[in-house]
Amino acid sequence: MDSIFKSFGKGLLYVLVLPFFLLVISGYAVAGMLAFIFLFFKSIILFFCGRSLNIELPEDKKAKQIIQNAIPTSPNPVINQDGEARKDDPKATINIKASNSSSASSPKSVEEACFGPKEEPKPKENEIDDSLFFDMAEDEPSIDEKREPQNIITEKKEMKDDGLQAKTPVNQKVEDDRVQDIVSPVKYSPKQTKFHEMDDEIGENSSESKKGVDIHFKDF
Amino acid sequence: MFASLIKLTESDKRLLIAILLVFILLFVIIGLIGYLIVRIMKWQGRRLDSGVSDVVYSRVITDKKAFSRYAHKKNWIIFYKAARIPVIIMLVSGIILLVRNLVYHDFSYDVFNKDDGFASILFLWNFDSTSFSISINTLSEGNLFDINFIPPVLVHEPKFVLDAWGSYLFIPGMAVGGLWYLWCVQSLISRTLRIKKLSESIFDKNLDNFNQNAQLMSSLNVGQRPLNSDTNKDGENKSLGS
Repeated sequence: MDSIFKSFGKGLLYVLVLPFFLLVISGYAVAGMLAFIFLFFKSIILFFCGRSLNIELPEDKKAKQIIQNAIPTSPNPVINQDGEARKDDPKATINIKASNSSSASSPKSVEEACFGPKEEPKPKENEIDDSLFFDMAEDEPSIDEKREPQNIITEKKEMKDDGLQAKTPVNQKVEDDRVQDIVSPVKYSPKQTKFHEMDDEIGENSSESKKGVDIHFKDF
Repeated sequence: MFASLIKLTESDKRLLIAILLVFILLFVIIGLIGYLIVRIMKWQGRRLDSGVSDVVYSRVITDKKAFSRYAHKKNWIIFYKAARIPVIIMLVSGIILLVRNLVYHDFSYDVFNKDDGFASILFLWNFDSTSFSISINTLSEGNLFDINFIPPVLVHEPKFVLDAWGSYLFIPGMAVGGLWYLWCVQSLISRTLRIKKLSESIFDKNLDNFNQNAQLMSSLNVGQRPLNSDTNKDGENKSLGS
């Protein structure tokens, strides 16, 4: 019953406000039409200049760049306005220059970039990880210390042979692609809206934007 | 007069209650429609957030004025992109009417006329003879209220006229385009209100829950034992004992 009387009161209020609302709407409609005409001619001029009226403003590009730089290296997204790590903050460990030449230690997800790398469970001492065979240096201490030296030498020879076989042209290409995937930084693209879809220019680069990752900054 | 007002018959009371209920129901419906419009406007305004969140998160914009300028600029561009389709629909409708007038050499064409206009496919009533009146019966006999209602007369039934094709395309096109455009305008207003609200809340330096003295006292640990003090088994502080 209370809600009905509440609605009744609101109804009375809205009846009183309605003329002003209509006045505001009509004012904005006229202003919108003028703005539309202005932006239409502006877009035509921009079209002949080889550009288009883009929803992405310079501020957006700057923000995109900052987030792009922050993603690959930052375990802690404490950054300055220009995208560089704060010098006075000892906790800030962002290295912008390293973002392009990031190694395998660079984060693979936005969560990892923002909140630090996930600690993977360490392999047990007696277990042998096959994926380490390619990267393992000869001087490094082997986990097969308990085995006899003669067997170790023969096994190493076999491993070398396997390594040579693996680096045939086809396998080399596959390996290069894998390394390229690890080295290339994560591409950031802002959340798409309906108006981005309407934008012709962005629509053309839609394949690029699909590569992006969604970002949520917990501590900002 | 007043004596007769007091003498309400059962049907008069029913009529009064019915009128009151209709009156309340009408305003309740208006209130619900208004509530719906407010909810829609809030939803429309919140869609701005996805467009302006990046510059705030990355702290490219750090003051209220710059944010307001940036967001308004973006707001108008969003409006322009959203209003393109309804404006095109309205323009095409206008061009259709223009072509029709050029073909028939008739620039005094009334699009709403019932012969070859849009009204040809509508029901039309004549409201000239319609009347509705409630009069108070001063006689002691009969009901207090006398209601007189003469309904409107139907004068035209819908029929399709081929010559009215211009108006058949023009009127729906303008109606759809116009309503769509008004929707865009409403979104524009919603976003404008949202920008105003956000520009006040994002960079707000609120001191409501801040007390410098309380913070100072807590930092000094007044009335508390130091956190890293050595204590005996009895619970006494060593430094105090020595």
